[in-house]
Order: sequence, then C-alpha cells, then structure tokens
Amino acid sequence: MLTNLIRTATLAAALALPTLAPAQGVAPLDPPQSVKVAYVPIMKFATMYVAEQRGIFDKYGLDVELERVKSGTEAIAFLTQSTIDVGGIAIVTSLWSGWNKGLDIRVIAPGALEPMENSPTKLLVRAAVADQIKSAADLKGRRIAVAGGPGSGGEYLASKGLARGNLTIRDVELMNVANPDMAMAVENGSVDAALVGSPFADQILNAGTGKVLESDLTPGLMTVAFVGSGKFINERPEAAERFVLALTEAARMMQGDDYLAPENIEAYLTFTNSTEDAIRKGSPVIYDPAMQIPVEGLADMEKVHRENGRTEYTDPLDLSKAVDTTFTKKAVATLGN
Amino acid sequence: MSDNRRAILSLAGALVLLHLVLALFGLWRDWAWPAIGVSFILLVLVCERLGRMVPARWRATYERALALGFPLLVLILWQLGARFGLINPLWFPPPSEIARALWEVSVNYDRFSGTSLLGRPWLIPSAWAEGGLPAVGALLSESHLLATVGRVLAGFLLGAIPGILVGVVMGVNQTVRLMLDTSLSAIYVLPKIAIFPIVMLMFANPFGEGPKIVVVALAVFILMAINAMAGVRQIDPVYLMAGRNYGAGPWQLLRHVILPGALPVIFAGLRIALGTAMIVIISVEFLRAKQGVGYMTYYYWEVLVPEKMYAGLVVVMAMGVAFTALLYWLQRRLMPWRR
Repeated sequence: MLTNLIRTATLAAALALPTLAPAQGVAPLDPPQSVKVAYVPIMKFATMYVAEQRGIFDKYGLDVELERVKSGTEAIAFLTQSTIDVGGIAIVTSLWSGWNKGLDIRVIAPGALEPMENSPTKLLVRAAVADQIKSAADLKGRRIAVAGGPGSGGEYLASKGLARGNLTIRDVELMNVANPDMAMAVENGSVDAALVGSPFADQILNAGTGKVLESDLTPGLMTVAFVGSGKFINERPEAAERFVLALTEAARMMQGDDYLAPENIEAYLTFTNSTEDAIRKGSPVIYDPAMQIPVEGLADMEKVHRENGRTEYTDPLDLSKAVDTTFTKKAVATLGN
Repeated sequence: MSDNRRAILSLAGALVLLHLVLALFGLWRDWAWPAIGVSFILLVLVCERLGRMVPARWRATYERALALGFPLLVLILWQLGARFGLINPLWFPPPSEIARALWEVSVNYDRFSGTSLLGRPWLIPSAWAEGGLPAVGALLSESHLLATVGRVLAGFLLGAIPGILVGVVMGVNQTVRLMLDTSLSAIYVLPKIAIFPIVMLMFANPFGEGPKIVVVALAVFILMAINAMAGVRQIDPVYLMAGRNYGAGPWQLLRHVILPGALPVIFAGLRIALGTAMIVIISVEFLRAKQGVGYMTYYYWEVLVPEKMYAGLVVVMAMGVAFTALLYWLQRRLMPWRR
C-alpha cells in the first residue's frame, strides 16, 4: 500500500516536472517581467492559453497579461505603439502593408498550423446545388460565404480553393459572413458555397444542408502567428526568449491525447469563446512541438493577397526581416527535439 | 494702453515663454501635451480679450475667423506634430497625407473591386456617347459615395414620412399613443446594428440593398415618431381651441395648426434622425457591405492603409455637413416664419 502510494507520488511528480521546473540553463526572470499580449481569442493560439493556465509563463518569471482584440490590425497598431509586447494575430494583409511600411514587428513563434489532412476548414457547397457544382471550377459566378473581409485569411483560403478550379476571387462573388451565420446562409440559399471552419462546418454537414467540395486547402500552413514588437525583441530579448520557450513547452503538453487533458481544456475555455463540446468534436490543428515557422507558406499568402490587389505595393515583399527564428531555435535547443 | 491690450500681450507672452522655457531645458517633447493644453487655455483667454476689443461692425468677421481659424490651427498643429515626431504619422497621418489619400481615392478606380469613391463623373460624357443612360448608370454604380448616399436617402425617406405620420397620430390620439409609446421607446434603444442579422433574414437576398435600407428606415422611423409625437403634444392647447372655435375641421386643424406647430420639433428630430441614419449605415457598411463609404473606410483600416481610412472619415464628415445643410435649406423653405 505504502509502496503504491510512493510510486504514485513519484509518477505524479515526474509528470508535473515539466510544468514546475524551468528548463535547464534558463533561470526564471527575477524580478518577474511583465509581457503584454493582445490576441484574437481563437483556438489557434492555444499554446499561449496552456502556458498561462498551467503556470509555464510564471515559472520563467513572466507576468503575462492577455488582452483580447477584435482583429489583427488592432494588435499591429498596439505593437507599433509599443503598448503591447506580443500580438497573437492572423496572417492578413495588414501585416504585409505594415512590413512594407517598414514597421519593426516580427513573427517570433508560430500559432497553430493547418493539419496535413482532415483540416477543420472546408469549402462546402449547398446540398441543393451539389449536383450542379461538382468541382471548384463549377463555382464560377456563384456566391461564396467567407468569414473575414478583403485581405483576410478566409479570402486567402478561398483563393486557394478556387485555384483548384483555375478560378480567382474575381470569378465569384465573395460574401463576408460571420462563422456562426454560415449554417443559416447555406440553409436559406443565400450562398451556394461557404468556406467554413470548425465547428460550423460540422454543423452544416450534420444538418445535411451542405457537402464537402474541397478540403485540405493548405496543409501545414501557418495562418496565425505570435508577432513581437521590435522594442520588445531588441530591448528585452531575455523575456522574448522565455515567452517562446513557454509556448514550446506548452505545445509539447498538447500532443496526442494530451490535447484534451482536463487542464488544457480548462485553458482553452478560459481564453476563447469555444465550448467544451465544440473543442472535443472539432478536428484539432497542429501545435508544432518543433516550433518551426513555415516561411514558404507566408510567402505564398503574401503573393496571393498581393495578386488579389489587397496591397498598395506590387512587388514581392522581402520577408527575411519579418520572421525572427532566434527564439524558436533557442527553445528547441533548450528543450531538445 | 488699454487693459485688454495689456492682458492680450501678457497672455501671448506667457504662451510663448512657456514653450521657450520647455524647449530651452529640453523638456518640450516630454511635456508637449500638457503644454498644448495650457496653450489652449491661454489662447481662449487671448481671444476673449480680443473679442471685447472688436468693433460691432467687425463682429461677424471676427466670429467667422474664430470658427474657421481654430480648426485650421488644429490642422497646422497636427501637421507639425507629425512632422516633428510628436505623434506617430503611421496611425495619425498628417492632414497633407490625408488630403493626398483623399485625392487618390477620388480619382483612382480600383480594378479589383470595380469601385471608386465618386464613380468617375468626368467619364460621364464618354459613357453617354458610348452607351447612353445605361452606361452612365453602370459608371456611377461603381461609386462608394453614391451607394451610401442612396442608402441614407432611401432609408431616411422610408422612415421619416411614416414616422412623422405615426407620431402626429400618436400626438393627437391618446389610444394610439398608449398602444405604441412603450414599444417604440423599447425599440428605440436597441442598437440597430445588433438587429441587422434579423433584418437580413426577412429578405430573399439578405446581402442586397433591402436590409441595409430597412435598418436605416427603422432607426429613422422610431426617432421621427417619438419626435413628431412630442412636437404635437407641446403645442399650446389654446391654439387648438382657437382653431376649433373658428370652425376648423380635423384636416384644417392638422394642416393649419398641428403641423406648423410641431414643425420646429419635427425638424430638430429630422436633424438627429439624419445623423442616426448616417451612423447606422456606416456601421452596417463597415461589416456587411461590399460597397459604400463605410466599407471603404473599414477596408483601408483592415489592410493597414490608415491615410485612406482617414480619407473615408473625411468623406463621412463632409456627407454629414452636406446633409445638414440640405435640411436647413428645407427648413427655411417649409418654415418661412422662422427665418
């Protein structure tokens, strides 16, 4: 009995170790430093929620304040004013415009990546017209609902879906419809197709009002990222290093079945508007434990947005200064592969 | 030297001295905003004293100069603030930059969205020559400005006319008033943008013009009904009694007593309703339109071209001024006794 208790306690301590003990060679900041983060409350920033909720930021001496914002552009505004240190933002046109204007903000860590298969984001077609629309090419002249306006991540994904039928967004009519309104828009025939994410895509499929036309539009793509202000990165690299290290640790605590560990679910529910049911039913995205920043995908997004006429500039943007892999590399070196 | 003259010189001297001292000690940048606040107070005091010295025949000119001069001064300070790094020119672009952006959005056609701010009116002659009225219509249909103006005017007329009629009936008939007053007061406080999705559901084409016009009309209707009712109810009963004593029937009372008596309040209501119509349509266009000044403004914010976003805001303000001037003109025509 006593042996069992000791064994259980040892196991529990071993499991708890990654959370409580800082990684080797990385001392907690003393005194703790404040890091202000503005984020769009979506599941793709879940590593940050887990790091905060499970005390990983604390153990590295980071006092992280999380503030919700409505859009990435808002966060960029705060980043350039240095009123926040890090922005959890979607990769949208405002970032390209910002970099083109010479803003010193840099991607320091990836958010969630699109899964290689079974992506939660699908291009659905209305069931009633499914026999007329059998491929992306048949969408020509049709009305498609997309969450997010011009230059958004949604528009990029729609562009990728349409490209499979050699169409561009100019060949269809894109309607900006909020995700929760998608099911209704498809059901009442306001749109013929919709680019929908989880759990709303499942809602439409389960109701039988829509069918999958295209899926896995951008496997492995980074659609969101943690972007640091130049001031934060240059003046407090020790805090930036620990911030990314904590995210990496959190990502490693979310792999496989651990994704739905009760402590993680509590974190997801604390920082997003999602429900436990939706999280459990939704297809999970990739929280890369190796924290690689897929620059090629970024370049493609920039190209698509530029070619869609969403940027004021016309030449390809040099993204070498937009991404800073110093901290992710350090984190992986510290924690091991 | 008169007291006023002495005071003006002292105050102006204090204003200059304040900035000089701050600049000499290298504190100007850190203390610029409080210094600007103090400068404003000193400037008000200078203008107060100056106003006392202005002869009566120059009074109107002085007031006009004050009304135009101060905004001009703010624009100059804004320009200088951006030039000398006091404000971040990316997020608060200087007026010159906004003017340039306004010019750009006015003369350029966005081939991707097929829109322009004004609808390129300079091409009307060639469009007319090529395809007549349909071609001109097609050209103007690309205009953000005309899309918004059309929605505002359609919604305003659709809401204001029945709103005034219902309000007048509520004013003269207690039963109707009791039946509708509470409901109207309840709907009045609803943010119209919040009920927009419900309005969309009522239309076969939820993304068309119908829901946008109806939500504006609804906002205007409620405001006008409440205002017209208040306008009718504030008419001194003596006038109604006098009308009846002179043998006026219900229609004559309405035509010669009630409507003229309520018109001042109705016009005050129309002015507020017009502002509300603008706020509602711009909010709707922010999120739910593919064309319109609101759409254009929000679009340039979302793709991070702030100077063009400000240009959109300038257009919204200009529309507000133009609509208000139109209402004043109408008021002078309909209420000649108030001139």
